[in-house]
Amino acid sequence: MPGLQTIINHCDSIMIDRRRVMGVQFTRSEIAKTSETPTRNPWRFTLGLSAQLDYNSNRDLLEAIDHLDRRLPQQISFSTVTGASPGLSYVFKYLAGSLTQTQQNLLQVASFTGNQLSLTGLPAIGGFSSNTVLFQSGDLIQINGYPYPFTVVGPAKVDDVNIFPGPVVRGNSDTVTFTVHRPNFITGSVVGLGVNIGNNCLFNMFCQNMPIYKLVPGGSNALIEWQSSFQLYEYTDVNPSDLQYYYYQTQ
Amino acid sequence: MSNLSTTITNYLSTSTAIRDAEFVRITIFQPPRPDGTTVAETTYSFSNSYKPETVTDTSGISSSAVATFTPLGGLLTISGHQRDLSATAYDTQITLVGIDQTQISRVLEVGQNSDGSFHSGLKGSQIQIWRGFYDTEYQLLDSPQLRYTGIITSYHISEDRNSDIDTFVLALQASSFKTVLENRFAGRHTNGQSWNTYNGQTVLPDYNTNGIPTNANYDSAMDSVSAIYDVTFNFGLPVTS
Repeated sequence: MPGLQTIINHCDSIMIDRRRVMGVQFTRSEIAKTSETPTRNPWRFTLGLSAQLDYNSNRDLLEAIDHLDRRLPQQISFSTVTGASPGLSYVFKYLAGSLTQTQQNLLQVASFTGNQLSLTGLPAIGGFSSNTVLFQSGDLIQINGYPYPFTVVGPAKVDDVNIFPGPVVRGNSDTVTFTVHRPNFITGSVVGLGVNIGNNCLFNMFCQNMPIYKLVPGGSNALIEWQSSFQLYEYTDVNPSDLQYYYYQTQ
Repeated sequence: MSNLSTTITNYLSTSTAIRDAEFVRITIFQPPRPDGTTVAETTYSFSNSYKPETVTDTSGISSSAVATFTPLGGLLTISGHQRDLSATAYDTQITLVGIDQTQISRVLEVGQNSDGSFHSGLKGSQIQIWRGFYDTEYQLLDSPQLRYTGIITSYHISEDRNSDIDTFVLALQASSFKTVLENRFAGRHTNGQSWNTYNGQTVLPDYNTNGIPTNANYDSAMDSVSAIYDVTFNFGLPVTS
């Protein structure tokens, strides 16, 4: 079904904004001090779409866009599995690449406290060594049932101040713990749930400015020209039961 | 927080970043039912943090020891706070959006519920604001510190409509207790009963046979007032015979 996924599949550019809510001050000795509000740090995509879609073939897209308006979110992804254009698979590709899809399917959340995520169900030592890289910094992880992707920053926190970006290795334990880019804001229990990795991750986005469109005629058809870019904003204030309602729109 | 000063020093010297969130609790005191039975107070606890936080109130000031603060996406802003060593009266304002329509009546004035009971509006309810700090794991450090206690004195709902973009915000104006106390109405009732009540006891005149009060503590200044009570009397006109 057309919708925001169609816009992503055809867009010319994607601008990604993951900045936090933060203030910066400089002391008299010119040391920068920051103050951060611990938010859910939503994903924000700005999609540029030129006048390339024709009107006759995309009447259903326009209806979907008008229905979504600035009020309803839709789940999108960058994987062909969930309907994305094959050309987009590189955007959030699984960088480490060591886990096969079968192995990824066996991973489960052991705990998720703050920004420290622990996974269990790891491949046994043997095929994997303790130094096998499971995740590279920048890999995406999304917990099944909760379409909110988290990026891997690096290994588990080492002290109160420093978090070091870098690869996350298998280790010798039954679980691996690492730091993700934002804290766990999911109110339900996530222990035991599976995960999606890389471009299989789902995003729950709505368009906060949903642009209006103009038809540029040519013969018995027209090109759709959008008034502005599409500013997608992650919709994180949703209960799982509500998500089922929104999810049907992507099927 | 026994090591508060140490913590602050550590932050100043070793950290260049802090993470903090505001925690707000509004306690609405409900009027009794028509049959006189009391109704429990209603408490709303919310924050601008990213997740629910259950906080034990160590200050001992609030009415409930433990509360879970909902991460209200609708909490927009909290205005600045003034902190003085001496008791200082100042106002603050919190701004909310996205109030559920089933809860709007809680915002408005006193009204009657479907079961016959009454509810208070937000005006007059108690408001407390804490500030909590987070570590690099986004875990709450210690208990949030109480920084404001006051009463909601007014609210206003504003609409900003610009073409097809229509936004509503609810702004709550809160005054500290000191401001509320300063707003008392000074003055005295102009009747004899009020002027002759001392420490909850009525001071009797003990009139003598000539109608003169003999009790030295009795104040007769209002005695003439009762004589003209409920009498049509045209003050200010010249006396004509």
